Amino acid sequence: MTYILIIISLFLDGAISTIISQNSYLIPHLLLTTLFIIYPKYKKRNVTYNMILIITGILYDLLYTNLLFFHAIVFLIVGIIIKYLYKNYNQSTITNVFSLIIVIAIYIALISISMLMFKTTNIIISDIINFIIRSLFINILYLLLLNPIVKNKA
Amino acid sequence: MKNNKLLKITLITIIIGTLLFMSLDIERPLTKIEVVLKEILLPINKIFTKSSSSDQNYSDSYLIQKNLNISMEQEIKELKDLLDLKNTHSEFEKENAKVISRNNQFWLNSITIDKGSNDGIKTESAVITSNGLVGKISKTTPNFSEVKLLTSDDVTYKTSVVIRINEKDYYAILNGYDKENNLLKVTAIDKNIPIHENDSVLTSGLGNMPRGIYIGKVISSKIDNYDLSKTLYVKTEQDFNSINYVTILKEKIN
Repeated sequence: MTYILIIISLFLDGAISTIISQNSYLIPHLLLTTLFIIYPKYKKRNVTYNMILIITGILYDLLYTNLLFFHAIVFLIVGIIIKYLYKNYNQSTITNVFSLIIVIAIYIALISISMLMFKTTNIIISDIINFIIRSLFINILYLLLLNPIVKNKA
Repeated sequence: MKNNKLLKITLITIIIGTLLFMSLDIERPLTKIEVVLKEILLPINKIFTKSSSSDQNYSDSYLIQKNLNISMEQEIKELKDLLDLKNTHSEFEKENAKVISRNNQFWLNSITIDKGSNDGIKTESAVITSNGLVGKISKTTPNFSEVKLLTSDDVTYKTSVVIRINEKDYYAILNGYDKENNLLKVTAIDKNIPIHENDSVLTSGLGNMPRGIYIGKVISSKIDNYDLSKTLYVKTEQDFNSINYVTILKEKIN
């Protein structure tokens, strides 16, 4: 079930980005949201979870960015944050939403810093904040939608 | 013990840093494995895009005719405009394509289209819509291509342009995008050239691109800190946030 969710989210990320304007408040990071919500299922299978992060990162880069291994590394780092958040906070809808906001913010900040460090793009802080804010709504909605599905299958 | 831990952290940091540096090389050509994997994955992506957008025979669908919404009307208009484009730029052949996915990374603004090297598409070819130039082909696989949009913040992405003033062309470089005001940035223009508001910015014809493709109109200009050159801010009529169909200008094979 989790694998199907991951595959659907991976392709939905691309499909939604073509129908929704990038200027809107609906920037999808559905794969990241899925990787966040499925973690409890892999709590005792750390290696499997890390493998999922690496493989989905490679597939994401192949489909959308052409930056070889970039998302595999980013997802692995974000994975550490996800594990930390689940370890330190009780699982409830509210804490999950707040944790997801932190995960999205760190994910976007990581990408921005990497691109800035290696001088790939010119990035200003207001752009990063703006991008984080515009990424929240659709992903929180997706989290709330996935929450009962993932829990029921647990 | 402490030294071992420090060594481990240093090694991991160096490995991650090297991998990031290698992966962020945007100009890197695709490897053969990447091309094969992309050819497998992108058709699946195309199915998802197809089911989420309206790429079907409109006349056959009673439901769509009944519920024709604004986005569909816009798509039809875009397609009609593209057909009109068939009559211009005669030195280049035109190939219409559908956008199948978009790079979600805000700063590397690119789209993937459903035409590739099998359709005669080469890197650096111009990609246009009825509103003018939108970008150029950056990577190709046999059946798909990546288009880097003019709005990409990639520091290496430059397009040679001309500013047309009273039938005279002045060369400059288009590189950069002002996100706040949705304006393209044109640099390297002598500060003494008398550029006015509403002067047209067109492609220069250098590189693998035809001359004279419309890009936009000058809105404002700013002299640089060294008082040597100007930066122009150009307004384009294209909404870069919603592009569904494009035309690629490919060189005619004689």
